[in-house]
Amino acid sequence: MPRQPRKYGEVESLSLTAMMDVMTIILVFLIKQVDAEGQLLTAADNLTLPNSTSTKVPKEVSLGLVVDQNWVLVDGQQVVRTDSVASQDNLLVDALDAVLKEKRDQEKQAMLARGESDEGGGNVIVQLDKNTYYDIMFKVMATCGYSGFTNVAFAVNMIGGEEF
Amino acid sequence: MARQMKTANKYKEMDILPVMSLMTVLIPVLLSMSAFQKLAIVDINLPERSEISRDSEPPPPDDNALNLTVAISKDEHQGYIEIWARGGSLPKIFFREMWTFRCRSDNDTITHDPRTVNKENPPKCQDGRTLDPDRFQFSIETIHLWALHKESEEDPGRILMSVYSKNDSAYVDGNNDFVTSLEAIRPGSTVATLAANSARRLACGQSAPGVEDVCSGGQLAATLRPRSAYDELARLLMALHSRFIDSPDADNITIVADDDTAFDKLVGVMDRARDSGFYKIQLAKLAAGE
Repeated sequence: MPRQPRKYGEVESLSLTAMMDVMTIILVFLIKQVDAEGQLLTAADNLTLPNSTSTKVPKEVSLGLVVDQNWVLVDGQQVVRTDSVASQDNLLVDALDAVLKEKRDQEKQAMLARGESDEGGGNVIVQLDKNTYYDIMFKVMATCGYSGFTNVAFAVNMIGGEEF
Repeated sequence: MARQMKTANKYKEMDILPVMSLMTVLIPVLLSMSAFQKLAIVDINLPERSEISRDSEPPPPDDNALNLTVAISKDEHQGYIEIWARGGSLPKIFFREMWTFRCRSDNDTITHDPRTVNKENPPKCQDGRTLDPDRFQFSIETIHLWALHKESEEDPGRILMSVYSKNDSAYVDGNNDFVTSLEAIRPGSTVATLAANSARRLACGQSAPGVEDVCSGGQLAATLRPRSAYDELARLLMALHSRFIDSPDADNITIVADDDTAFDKLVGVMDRARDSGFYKIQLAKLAAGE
């Protein structure tokens, strides 16, 4: 079919309908994605979590404890160097214990202020690099238990979680 | 202002530009909020205060308790996993540790024995480049534990092979033994994997409840490769769980490990323990200075 010559001066408006369709699909997909996450747990930057077949996701907000190659962090605050945890003999990490006790007290106060009973221990989710030694992990865990955070969970990468 | 009369047959397109602008804002916002890495948690029960000594016998069990303990340890030659139950121990599962790295340069994987790579001799990618000598440990993608068969203490061990499905699960036969030859895996045969009630008939090109498609593109997709010590552990744990289901502590497991055991291996063992039915996981520590 021969192409029709365009008349000068005629304004062709760009059809946005097709683009709208694409955008709507992307939008619905993204909303679903965000909704399904819940976002109670965000991965720390400089560590690799181990892969696991666990499908359990955190149900409530917990204190975040991160152990990376250099530092032990509580809620993003550097507390103690990982090397010094590894080199000490005692199971209890004093610096970490002090910070955790303080956090636990704050939690208790908040619970009491809301008029809820503070039964059971606090929740803590520990993120460890997958090459962390068991020794460090055990000391951190023991310290958590000692300072009142008795529900300890470890963050892992869900296998197959990347696909959607 | 007088209302304009609409002409009957003139089609007027809706102005969707404002909607478009809204979407252009919404999409980046949602994109930044969504996480592309799904995280899960592994629950554990708090460690026992008492330490278990490697030399001393485990505490005397009461008659019905299972007292299941899994230890990850190593001798001068190899690493091993040992299972204690009811005060006795099962034969050790020896393994050879292998590290798989992913090269940034060609995005391919390479597998090395950890004893052959060090700072002077960093792992080499398939395209000839080497990984950063100081930081190659951090680019380990997977730590494999290859199960070994050893005749005696001095025997360096023979790598055990096993048939794996395309979903990476090991096949077992009717006696709960690993399938070790590809000939047993063909359409029409019946096998199981290391999961409860997983017996299935194999077929090519069709899939249904109880029927597994073993083909991919008309070819058999099962592969023969070194058996994982985790699978060996899972098989033993499942047998133990079904045999001692009446014990008061049938769901409990204690995991002990050496100080320098990588967290990854612990998660691997915890996964297998949970999948085998022991979901109350405790961690304990081997006494220092053996």
